[in-house]
Amino acid sequence: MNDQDEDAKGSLGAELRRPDDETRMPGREAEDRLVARLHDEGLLRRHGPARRSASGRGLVAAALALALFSAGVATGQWLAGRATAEVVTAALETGAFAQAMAIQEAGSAYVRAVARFTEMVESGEVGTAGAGREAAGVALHAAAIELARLSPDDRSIQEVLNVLDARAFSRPSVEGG
Amino acid sequence: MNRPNSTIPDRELVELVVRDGDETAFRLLYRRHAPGLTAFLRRCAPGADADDIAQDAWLRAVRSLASFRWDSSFRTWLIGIGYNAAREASRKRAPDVRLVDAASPAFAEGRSPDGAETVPERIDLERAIGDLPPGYRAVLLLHDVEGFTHPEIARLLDITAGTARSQLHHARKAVRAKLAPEVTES
Repeated sequence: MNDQDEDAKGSLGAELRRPDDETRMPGREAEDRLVARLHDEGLLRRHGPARRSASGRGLVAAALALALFSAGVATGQWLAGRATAEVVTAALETGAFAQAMAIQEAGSAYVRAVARFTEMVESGEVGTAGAGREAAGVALHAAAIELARLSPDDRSIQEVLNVLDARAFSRPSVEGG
Repeated sequence: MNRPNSTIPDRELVELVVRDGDETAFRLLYRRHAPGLTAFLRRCAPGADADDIAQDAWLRAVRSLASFRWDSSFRTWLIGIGYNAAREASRKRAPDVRLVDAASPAFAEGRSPDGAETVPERIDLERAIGDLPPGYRAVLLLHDVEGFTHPEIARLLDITAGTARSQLHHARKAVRAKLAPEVTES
C-alpha cells in the first residue's frame, strides 16, 4: 500500500464535509460590497468588456459629440441629442435584446438629427455647419470603432474604420464654416 | 456567454476578469467558489470572522489573478490565499481570543439540512477539529476536505511533505480519539 492509499484509507473527508458547504452562499450584500471594492480599485468594469478601451473612447466621443452639437444648433435639435443620450444610458442598464433595440432607436435618432441639422444649414437657420458636422463625424467614428469590435472579421467595416481613423487624425479638431 | 453558467470553466471566467474586468464573469466565479472558501475559513479560523477573511482573500485573489499560472485548480489556489489571510488575521487578533468558541458559527451551524446528523454529533466533530493545534487542523482540512496533496500543503505551510504527512496522521488520530475513544487507532 503506497502513501496515497494510506492517506485515502484514513481520510476523515466523508465525516468532515457538510452537505451544504458547497451551496451556502455568503449574503448578496457581501458580494456587492466586494464587487464595489474591486470597481474602486479598477479591477472590474461595470458594463462588460472594454477591449482597446474603445468603450471609454466611444462614450467620451459621444459626450463630445453631444456637447458640440448643443453648442452649434438650435435648442429643438439639441433636445433630439439629449433624447439619444437618454436612450443610450437606458440601454447600458438592460439586457442584450433591449440593447439591440436601443441601438436601433439611437441610430434612428442620430440620422434624424443629422438630417434635420443639414436642413437647417441649407435653409440658413444656422450660420455654420462646422460644429454639427464635427459632432456627427465624431459620433460616427465612435460607432465605427464599436462596430469593428463587434464584427472583427468583417473587412468592409474595418475599411470604413480605417477611413474614419485617417480622417480623424488628419484634420483640425473643429472645422470652420 | 451563451452557455449555461455552470459549464463555463474557471479558466475562461478568470481570463474574462483579467482581460476585460468582466463583472459578470467575476460574479459567476465568486458564486461558484465563495461557499467552499467560507466553509473552509470557518473551520480553519474558529472564532474569527470568516466572512471578513473571505472578503480579504477574494480581494487578494483578484489582485493576483493575472499572475496565476494554473499550476493547481483555481479552488486550490483560492483556498491557499484564504489560509494565508486567516493566518495573518489570527496574528492581529488579541492573544486572549479563544481559538475554539462554542458560540462561533462553526458550532452554531453544525447541522445538515436533511437532519441526518444530529447537532450534538456535529458539535463534537467541530469541537474536535477546533481543539487541534492550528497546524494539525490546517493540514487535516486542506488534505481531507479540500483535496490538497502533501507537496501542495508543504508549499503553503512552508513545511516538508513528510511533516505534512506526519501531521495529518496525528490530526486524524486526535480527532478520532475525541469522537470515539473506544475505536481509536493503535
